[in-house]
Amino acid sequence: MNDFLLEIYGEEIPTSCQSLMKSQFRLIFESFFLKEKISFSELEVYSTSRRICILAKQLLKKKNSKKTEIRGPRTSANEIALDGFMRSNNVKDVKYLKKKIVNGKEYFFFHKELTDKKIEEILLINIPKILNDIKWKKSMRWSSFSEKWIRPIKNIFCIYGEKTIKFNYAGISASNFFYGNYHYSTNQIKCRNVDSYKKKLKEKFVEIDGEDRKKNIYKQLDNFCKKNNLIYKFSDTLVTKVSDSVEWPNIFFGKFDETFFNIPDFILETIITEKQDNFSFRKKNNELSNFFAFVSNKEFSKKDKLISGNQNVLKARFSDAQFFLNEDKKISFSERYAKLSTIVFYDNLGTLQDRSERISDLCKIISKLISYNIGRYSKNLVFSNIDLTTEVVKEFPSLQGQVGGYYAKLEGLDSELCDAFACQYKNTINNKKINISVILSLAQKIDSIFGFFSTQKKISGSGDPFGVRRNVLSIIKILIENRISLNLNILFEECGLIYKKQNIKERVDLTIVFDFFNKRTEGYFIEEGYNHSLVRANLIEKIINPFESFIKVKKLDNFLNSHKGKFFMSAFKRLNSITENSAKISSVVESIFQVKEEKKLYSEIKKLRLQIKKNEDNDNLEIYARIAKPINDFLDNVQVNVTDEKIRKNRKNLLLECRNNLNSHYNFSLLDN
Amino acid sequence: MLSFQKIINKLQDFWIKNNCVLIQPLDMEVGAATFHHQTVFRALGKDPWRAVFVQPCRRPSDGRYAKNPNRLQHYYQMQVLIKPSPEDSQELYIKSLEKVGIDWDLNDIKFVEDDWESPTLGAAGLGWEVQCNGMEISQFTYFQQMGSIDCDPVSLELTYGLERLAMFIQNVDNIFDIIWDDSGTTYGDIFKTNEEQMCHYNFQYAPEKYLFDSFASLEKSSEQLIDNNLPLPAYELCVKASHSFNLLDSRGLISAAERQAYILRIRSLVQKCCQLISKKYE
Repeated sequence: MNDFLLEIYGEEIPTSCQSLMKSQFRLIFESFFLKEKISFSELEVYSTSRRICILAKQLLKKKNSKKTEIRGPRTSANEIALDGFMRSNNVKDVKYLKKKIVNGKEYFFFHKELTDKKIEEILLINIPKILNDIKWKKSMRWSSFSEKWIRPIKNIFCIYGEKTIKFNYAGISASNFFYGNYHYSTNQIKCRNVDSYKKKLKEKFVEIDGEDRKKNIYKQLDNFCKKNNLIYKFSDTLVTKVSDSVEWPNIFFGKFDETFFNIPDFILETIITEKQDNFSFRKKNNELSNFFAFVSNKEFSKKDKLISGNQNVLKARFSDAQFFLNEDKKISFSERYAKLSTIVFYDNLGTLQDRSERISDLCKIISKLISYNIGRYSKNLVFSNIDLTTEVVKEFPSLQGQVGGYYAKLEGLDSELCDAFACQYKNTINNKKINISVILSLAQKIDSIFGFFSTQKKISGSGDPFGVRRNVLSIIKILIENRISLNLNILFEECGLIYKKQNIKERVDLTIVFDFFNKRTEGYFIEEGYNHSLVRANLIEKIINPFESFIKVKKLDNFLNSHKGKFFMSAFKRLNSITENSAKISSVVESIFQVKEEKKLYSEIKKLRLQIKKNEDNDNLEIYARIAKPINDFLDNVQVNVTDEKIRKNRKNLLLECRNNLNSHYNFSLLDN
Repeated sequence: MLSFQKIINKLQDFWIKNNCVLIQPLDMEVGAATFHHQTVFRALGKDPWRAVFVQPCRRPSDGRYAKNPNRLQHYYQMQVLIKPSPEDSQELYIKSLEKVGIDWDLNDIKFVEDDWESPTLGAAGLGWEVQCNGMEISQFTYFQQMGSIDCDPVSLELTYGLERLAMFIQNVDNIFDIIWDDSGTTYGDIFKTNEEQMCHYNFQYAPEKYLFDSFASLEKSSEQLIDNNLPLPAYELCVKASHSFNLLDSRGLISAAERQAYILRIRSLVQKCCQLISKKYE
């Protein structure tokens, strides 16, 4: 049983990077073993809060023996030379040497057998290199070491069979022992293979397999729910996070005071799950329960202090929230609105009140553009941002919007408008119908984007203070998912006028904005599974209307996959290859057409041109299907390179004209690859 | 029961015994102990360093007119800075907790991912917030950068939230009920009026024009000092500007989007100060 075990043990590894790291470890080791022609029967990678390990069963190296011939001195050379040669090759007797004539002279030769490096040697040389190459999401240095790891390393356990692979890394010499859960003991443990490693860890309160830790947590949660008639709704991500934060999950349950139920559920749940990484429960009727659960790395014989401690923390956090809510309620909506005028939104972009007014105006413009009656909401739209002045949002920034919706409800505003306030920052709003939520969300994001481009700042990898990337993608998604045809060029131009009305000097170069939109739209379509060149073939127009572009892409995709579409593309490809490097076009002269193929092709081009010019029915692809035959007929039956120069030029111009017109609504040339 | 002042004494004693220099707080308004120049500048260069100190901190926006049981605009941090970070950092920290009665075996002490960053100082570190039975009692950080300069060797920075720690040890759920000394003086006796009045100042009366003007003039003076190769006083003016900025923030005069621009202005000055200090170490 020649198992390979490597465990890097250290200070607490953040939960957020463990899953990515495990897959990287697996990939790196698999390709390393492949490269070294080392086989294994099983390879497992695990992580806990304190260790990451790779376990490979039954490593074997394919034998790869080779012989090499080493030339020595001439047979006529003196004994000193011969002795030196034998010594350097570890040859005991001259009988092991062979004689061979090369270029008429006789030499001694030694046939040396090249044996492969042993697995342990390969591991010894390569593991430090592998560890050096591993890239954690965020790695760090510590003390005076130059090596980087996710957190300081305390021990490296590395064995192959019965041998210890004694390499050095970050000031640590790899050893043949490991540790259990440090909450229980600090004794060194030894083992010889994967199975006993796992078993011994379990005895020392380490469940190495994250999936098993999760199962354990779920089981304890399920039992609790069954017993107390409860359900849970939190995400699996939370369970993974909690299970990766320990080595041995022990679950504990606490209760908070029911008086806190006067705080809205969304705030209570955010505190329980996001702030404390605890679990919340609901009753069967979907009401929030006052039970909560948390996980610890160790068992406690006396649980009281632990549970009361955790209860106190929630109590303190809830009291904070309660305090903020009470303070917030002392200030009326109109006072808050006035307060917005004292807060600068951004250098040269006015105050938050200016922004609120712009958003309100934009809502009205969008409604007009998409024929939606905004009437009953228009008066109160200016309150969309007032939650930015509240204590609750200062404390829980992730609840921005939701808090606005909640306060608007308390103020007695129209409930649909309250919902719109609540979900305005969400990335997707999929209603399948247009409502005020969709419009407000679009308006809020459009103002943000326009504002950002007005500051003339550049978006860098981490520098995107306005969340422009996210906002643009969100607008694209909302428009497409809710099937809203909206001309963004008009909207952005109107946005500029609103800024002017507020005496804010805007310096937005709309072409940059549109380019940015086009790139994101392209990305969205590609993510939706459309081919890159198909998407680019569609985005040649300067009008930014993501939903219409989406329809166009879909139609073109359907067309190209149809029989007619394939027929057209094959004709277009012929045309494109002939006209590819042709000189600039001059007008086609109809009066010198000689044959019916010329006339027919030209008449179809004129029809196409007319259709595109009128901008009617441009997505009716029938016209392309119809033009395929005249193209083929022309290419099959008409000679372009005739001796008469006028006719020759005219025919070339006709083909160019044909290609250019075909490329004016879709860029088919981009599809010809 | 361990009083607030005894907690401070015991922790200081522990770190003094572990070869730390006991230094005194910076005599300026700072938002965190890290702003002490004995932390900012000691984190740079190669020389080893071990120090412990208590630093009063001011975060105007965190004030709640003494009505909230967990929030103050003025509070105390104890900071330990050790360069290079010792091998047994965590063990030392756990031992220090034992000195104030927090037993490792009886409490659930968790190291929860919390990468620390001070955008104003251009400082970043990796580490954890330490929770004891769910309550955050310390910040545990390995400095990676200071003034946007890589730290080599790396320092360990431990920051104890002294009020939190005392609330946990004394089992009280209101900051103002913390027992300060053996005669029963409470935190509230000493600080409640101060909290109330300072909150009025921070949220309502801190003068807008003066703060905007002082920020600009401190920035300008700091630049002049940098030009004259005087990074220490230049840095002190950054600290002052930072407090002006914090007051503008608590007055609600700066929007979320604009905050960033102000922070960057201070950071670029601190960065220059750190570069000058680093050069001196070379």
